[in-house]
Amino acid sequence: MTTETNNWMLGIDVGGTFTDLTALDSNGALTATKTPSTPDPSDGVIQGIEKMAGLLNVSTTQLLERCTLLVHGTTVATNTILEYNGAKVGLITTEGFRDEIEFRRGYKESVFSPRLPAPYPIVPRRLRIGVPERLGSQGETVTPLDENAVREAIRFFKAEQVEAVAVCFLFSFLNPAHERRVKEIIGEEAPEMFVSLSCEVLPQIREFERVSTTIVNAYTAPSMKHYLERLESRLREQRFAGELFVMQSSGGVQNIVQSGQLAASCLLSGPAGGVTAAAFIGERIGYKDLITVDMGGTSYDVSVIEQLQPTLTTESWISRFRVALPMLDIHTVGAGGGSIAWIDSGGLLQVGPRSAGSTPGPACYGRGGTEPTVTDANVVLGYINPDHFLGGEMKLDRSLSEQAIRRAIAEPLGISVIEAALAISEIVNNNMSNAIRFVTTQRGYDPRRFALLAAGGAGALHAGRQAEDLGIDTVIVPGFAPVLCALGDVAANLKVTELRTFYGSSANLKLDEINSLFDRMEQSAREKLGDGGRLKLNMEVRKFVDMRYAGEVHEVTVPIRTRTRKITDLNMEATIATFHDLHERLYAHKDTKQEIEILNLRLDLVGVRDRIHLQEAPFGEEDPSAALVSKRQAYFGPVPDETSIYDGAKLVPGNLVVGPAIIEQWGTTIVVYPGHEALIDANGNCIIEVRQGREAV
Amino acid sequence: MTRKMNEWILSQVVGGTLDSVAEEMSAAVTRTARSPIFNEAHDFTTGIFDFSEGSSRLVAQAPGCTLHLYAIVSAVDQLMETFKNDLHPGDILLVNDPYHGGSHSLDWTIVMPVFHGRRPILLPSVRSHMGDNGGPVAGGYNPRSRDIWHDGLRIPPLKLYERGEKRLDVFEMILGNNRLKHWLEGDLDAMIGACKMAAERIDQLLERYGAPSVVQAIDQRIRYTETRVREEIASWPDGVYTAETYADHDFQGNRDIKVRATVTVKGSDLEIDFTGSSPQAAGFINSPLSNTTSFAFVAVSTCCDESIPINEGYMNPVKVTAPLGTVVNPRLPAPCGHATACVGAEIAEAVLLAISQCAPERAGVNAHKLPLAYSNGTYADGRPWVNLNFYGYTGGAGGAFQTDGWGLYPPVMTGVILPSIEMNELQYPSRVLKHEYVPDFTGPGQYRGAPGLEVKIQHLEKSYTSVMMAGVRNTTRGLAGGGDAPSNLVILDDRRTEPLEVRETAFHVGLEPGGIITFHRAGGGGWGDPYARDPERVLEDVRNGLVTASAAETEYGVVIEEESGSLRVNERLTEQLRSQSNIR
Repeated sequence: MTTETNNWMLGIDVGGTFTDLTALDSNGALTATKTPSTPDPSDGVIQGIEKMAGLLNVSTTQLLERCTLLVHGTTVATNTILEYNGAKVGLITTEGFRDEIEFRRGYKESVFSPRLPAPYPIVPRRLRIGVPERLGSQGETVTPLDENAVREAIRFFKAEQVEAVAVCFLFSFLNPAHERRVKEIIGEEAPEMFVSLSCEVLPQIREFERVSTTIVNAYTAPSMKHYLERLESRLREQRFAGELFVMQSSGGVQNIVQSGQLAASCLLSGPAGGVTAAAFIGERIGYKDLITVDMGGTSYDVSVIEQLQPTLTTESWISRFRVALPMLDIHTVGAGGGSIAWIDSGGLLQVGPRSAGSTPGPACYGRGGTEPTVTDANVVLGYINPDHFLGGEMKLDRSLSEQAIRRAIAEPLGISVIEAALAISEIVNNNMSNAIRFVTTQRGYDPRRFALLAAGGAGALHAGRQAEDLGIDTVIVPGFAPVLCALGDVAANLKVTELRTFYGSSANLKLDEINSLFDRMEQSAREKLGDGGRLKLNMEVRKFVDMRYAGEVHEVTVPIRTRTRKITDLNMEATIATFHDLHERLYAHKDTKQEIEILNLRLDLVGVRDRIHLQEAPFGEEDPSAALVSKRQAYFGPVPDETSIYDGAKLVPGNLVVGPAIIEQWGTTIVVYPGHEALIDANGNCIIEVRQGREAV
Repeated sequence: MTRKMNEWILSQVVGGTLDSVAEEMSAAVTRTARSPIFNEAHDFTTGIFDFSEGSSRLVAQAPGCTLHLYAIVSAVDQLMETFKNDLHPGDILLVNDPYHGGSHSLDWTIVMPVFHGRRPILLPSVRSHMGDNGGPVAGGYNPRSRDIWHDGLRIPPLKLYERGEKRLDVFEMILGNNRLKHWLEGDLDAMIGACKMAAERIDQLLERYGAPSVVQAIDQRIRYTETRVREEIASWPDGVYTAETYADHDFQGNRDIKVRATVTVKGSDLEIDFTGSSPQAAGFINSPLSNTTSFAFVAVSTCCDESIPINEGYMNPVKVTAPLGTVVNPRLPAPCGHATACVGAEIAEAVLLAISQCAPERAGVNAHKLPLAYSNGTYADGRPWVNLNFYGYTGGAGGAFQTDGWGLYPPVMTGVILPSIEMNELQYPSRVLKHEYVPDFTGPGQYRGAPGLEVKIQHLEKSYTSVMMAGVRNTTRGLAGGGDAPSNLVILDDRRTEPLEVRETAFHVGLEPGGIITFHRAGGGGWGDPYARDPERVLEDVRNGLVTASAAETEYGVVIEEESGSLRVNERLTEQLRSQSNIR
């Protein structure tokens, strides 16, 4: 297949357990593989590339030489903040305000418990220094910057061996002069220190959100930068000459220099790949509105894609720190295959959020785990074949699952093991359905008009039930479900998001000022994005405005549609009309007479990649019996059903699998529930049509 | 599957769904309400009730501010009691009267009954603190109030919508009696919108499972909560535990108003009785029984496990009583405008002090004695502004077993989110000059209170400020041997005349442009003997500028010394000092 003129694009996603790789060649052929992740993630990346080269019948150097683009999803920044092992950070802020990071605007994760401990202080108070300076609410200087105080602070930081400095002054988003000056002074006093300015990280109103994001950036960026530089040099050693990009939390990609500076924008670098891939698949197969779910060992991630655009949020907390940069709105609950089932002190069956993880793991792993998990229930119910877990790479012990469920659930409740397993399944399914409701109904989306795209090792085991619960007609299990994030990496567009606070009112719209600010934002975005090097990019500018009714404190991000570079009066009128409609959809009311406030302008500069053409396999027969491997009893209710088991690798496009059936593939198991019908498409995706109206519980 | 198993699962499915509907309502009102006390301070709660045979039960709740915990229950009861024979699909009900199951008249409750066939079955409801309530003082807090009508507009149970039709006359009457008409209109829209959204979700739930199953699932869920709460109470030693605490004054010159709580633990039952509390006060600190019950529940709920769903089952094992005519159960027309802060804080404090005698590791310091100061003025175009100076009084989290107080408010108030300083300065002619912890200004303890703050707020235009102090004479108490919090203080300084130190109250004091309000907002009470505090934690506090070296010695018995530029604990002297203290 490979020819001399062939070249590749690589997507590499490093997760906690596996490093996933996809390679897309110029003919649209996609190859995927996995290797175990390593303590230094760049080792796993290199090993993965070697394994991929082997699959493609080229040497590692040949693969890298002819690789035009490598997009990387990494958890380096995420783990730094989750494990609290980042840089030693000092904060310089406006005198009188050094405790905002502890105040958190009063927010605590618990409204009842006085026993909730404070978050780990990533910048202890003695390293937070207020210096005399103050800007007013129009950006005017009220108190000039005391440069001597800044120098003193830096010298103190040096003595304390601070590695990174976060700088955040009040109203710096209107006037960055003081922050910029501090950066110059650090350059003179301690050029080795990493500097994170709030006016660069998040030039946006709201001091707590800004200072927290800036601190998180200072905390995570040094390790990210170090890692990316090391990875790049290892790749260049092997003659890699292409572009190296990093997946951003917002679903776009940026080069490694930007990513090393702005690590806070890479905190969802991994899962963002999966959501991006889902949008890519949705576009190919004609589903524009998708709910994506990813169920792994410990957690269940849900997000929404509307009209092929993943939804974003600026309201995230990561590891108890507020990060207000736009990121994909991925809602996570503790419901995974390893989630433990238990009976609480009130006698109620609960599942999760505690997880058995991979060690000891579910009871059936035989690694000493004795608590029953969701995976154990799935084994007992006959959904998971103990001999075919991970394509048979790992043997499971059904009797251990039964034992664990009997001891912890069935006996105390006085029910049978099957009943207990069904109950575990019902509870975890409902937890997952509620997680989907959280990102749909709570955000004003009706789940019934979406298709459900299921990924992760366990997603396709349960998705049919969520679809029934929520009235969803279609479940999609992508052919590349086990390496979905790496597929997203290879498919993603380049994207830079610029954001500026612009405070205005619909009563007095200063369109000229808005247009000129957008021009400046676009220019800044172009400088950051570059021209994409050897990639063919079609640059697209997307403009948004954050609006609200005067008096509201939360904004709605409204797209602005224009036909030219300038926003016209008519464009703005249409934008305002869109705002009213969005407000009504989200909150059940609107008031077209009300004054509207403008708070922020947002601009996405998107380098749209050439359309990727995946190779397709020819359609075969409807009858899937060539892939039928066996039949076994599986429980979809108290009475077992004789269930057909198919080998996913042998199914061909056009095959129609009628439930109850189970499709066993490498890395995932698909349950086709009774009454559902699964069709294999030309890219190996499994599209399941869901029967509605299942009797409640 | 067995019938019993089905019921369990269904109760979790239905209960979980109703919880998520209540949360959804909460998210919707936060995003769409207009007044800052509502959308920034989150001073509201959403709940879903069921209704059968003439009585309603709390089924699910998503607290923004837990202080509404029980008040919403009694308000909904009163609304349903009034209209139970005259309800139709599309009706929306409203009440704010403290003497109709409320707290203070600034808190309004809205209910939209959802029907199954011809009878109301589930009731989504929102209760919120409104930006203004008519009455003599903008923002509603009138320290000169002498009766309930001085507190502001009194709204008995009424219908805002009848059979889906907006009652324009009622709206006009209500809006016409409010200074912040534009906010109020938006706030009501937000509350009604949230109820409508919930109604839709509830319809879907009823359709899917059928009304009988839903009701059965709710029964199960309520029983479940009751079991869990009873289990907690049963773990406390049986006995009668009494505590007294005092509010500084009633704003009418009467000082040291007593709240006395007698908590009786008997098996899994808890009785809380307020006999022995002061007679009802002349000023606006009186707490209607529903408010008293709310604060008692707040105290109890902070001692229980957080994973227990909040519903009617929480209330079943707990009985709250208070004699009529007292400050904790006043007779009409005693004024109640300040009840949600004072004597609310004292009610929760007395109950916690009592519980701490039998279950010290469960009780944490939660009282919120607020140094309130509200300012108002007019913009250049003549529109009025009201600024609640949130930054000044937010703080005071106390210590608890194994946990230092941290952040600002104690947990009961942590649904309350401070406005952004930058946003506030864009919207109001004011500037915050300082908002920071200060050292040695909190209750010491094995686990200390959160540090106290100094806050300076400058008003750039002519302003008028009313101050309502608490926690000056009778400060927030420590628990289990922890120290009490220091005193709050507010200073009004127009930088022309002698600054005015306010320790009780000030009414409508004018400040010229540039005038500064300084808040010395004390931290929380401590938990446990300060001398038992790990010296390394004391050292860490000294390093972080939260405790001075001299206070480390006097308050904690920890001797800190400097050695080659860095601080360390002198273990020998510390041990010596601490062993001497055993005699104290």
